[in-house]
Amino acid sequence: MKNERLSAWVDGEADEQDGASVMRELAGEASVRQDCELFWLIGDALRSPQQTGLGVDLTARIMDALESEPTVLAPRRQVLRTAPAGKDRWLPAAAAVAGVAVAAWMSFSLLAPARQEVARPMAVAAPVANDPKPVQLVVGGEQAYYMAHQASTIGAPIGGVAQYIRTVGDEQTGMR
Amino acid sequence: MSDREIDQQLVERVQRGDKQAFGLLVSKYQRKLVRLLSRMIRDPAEVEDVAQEAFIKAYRALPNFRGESAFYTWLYRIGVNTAKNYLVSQGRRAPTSTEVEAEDAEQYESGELLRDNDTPERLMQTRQIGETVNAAMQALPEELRTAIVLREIEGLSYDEIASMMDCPIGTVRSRIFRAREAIAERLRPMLDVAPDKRW
Repeated sequence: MKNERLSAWVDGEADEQDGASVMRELAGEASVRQDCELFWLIGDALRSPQQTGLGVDLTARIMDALESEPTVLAPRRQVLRTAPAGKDRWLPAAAAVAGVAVAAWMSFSLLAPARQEVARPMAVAAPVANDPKPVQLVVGGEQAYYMAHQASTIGAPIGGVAQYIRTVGDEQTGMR
Repeated sequence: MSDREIDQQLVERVQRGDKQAFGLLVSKYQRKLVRLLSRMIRDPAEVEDVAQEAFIKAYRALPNFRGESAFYTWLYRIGVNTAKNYLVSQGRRAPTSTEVEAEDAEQYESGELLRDNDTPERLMQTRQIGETVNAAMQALPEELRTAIVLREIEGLSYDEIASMMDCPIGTVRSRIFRAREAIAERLRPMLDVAPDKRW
């Protein structure tokens, strides 16, 4: 069963769980690594009709050479944060709502006395009349005179003024 | 989990300090790399030296490998550059890019263009491995042989093989494994490695 998982893994056909098991076994057991090498060799032998290079085995030689090499360590890649699963995914939203609620409560508490003072006179304001009466225009004195003579001017109200200006101008130039 | 994902997992293990994971990448790609370099360098001993140097360069450069390309494409590019530099240092002409391209490396699988320039010992072992694999294949029951041929030579997925052989995927997985085990059984005595030589 262990090697059947390994065989599927070599073919890229193992699922995540089996793949993780195989990786652990490869890291810990030399016999599993040897079986893995053997499976790769069989594949190369079947794909290569002339079977060139099948006898090559550089692994031990290269691993010996790497003994003196410092272990390579790549900087950890920055992993994109994904949305949290389950009930945890509501925590950011709940925190935001709670923050807004606290801010609203504080602002209402601070403004509450001022609003009450402003609201009191509003409460006793006189009710607006539902049926307003028409406004009566009071006319008397000079206004009555102007109204009465408005009709005697020529055309628009500006006409009387223009006539006055012309008369005064004629007198000053001696035309009359 | 695809083949490329497997390589990426191994690369990430190396990047976290696991040297054995690099050994697996060497095991997987050494033959392909050697075949590629054989197109550029005639002497098999030199090919192996250059292949080793390429793998060590790849190991040193792995912290910067981000997986934008497949690991083998990246490795082959290092291999080709290492071979060119080697030939220049020896005062020999390096092949032009049209003669050897890392991207074409997969097409070298057939080995048709390769020179048979191995040492006698290496040739003998290569021949023995080939004959053993062929003999084991001939001895396999028909359904196991078909399953492994469809996988290893035709490159079909388990799903496709299940459709072609009209059987569940689990059966395909089992048949391919049993085929490999039968072939491996015959190869093990030939490749038996002394415990102190294991990595």
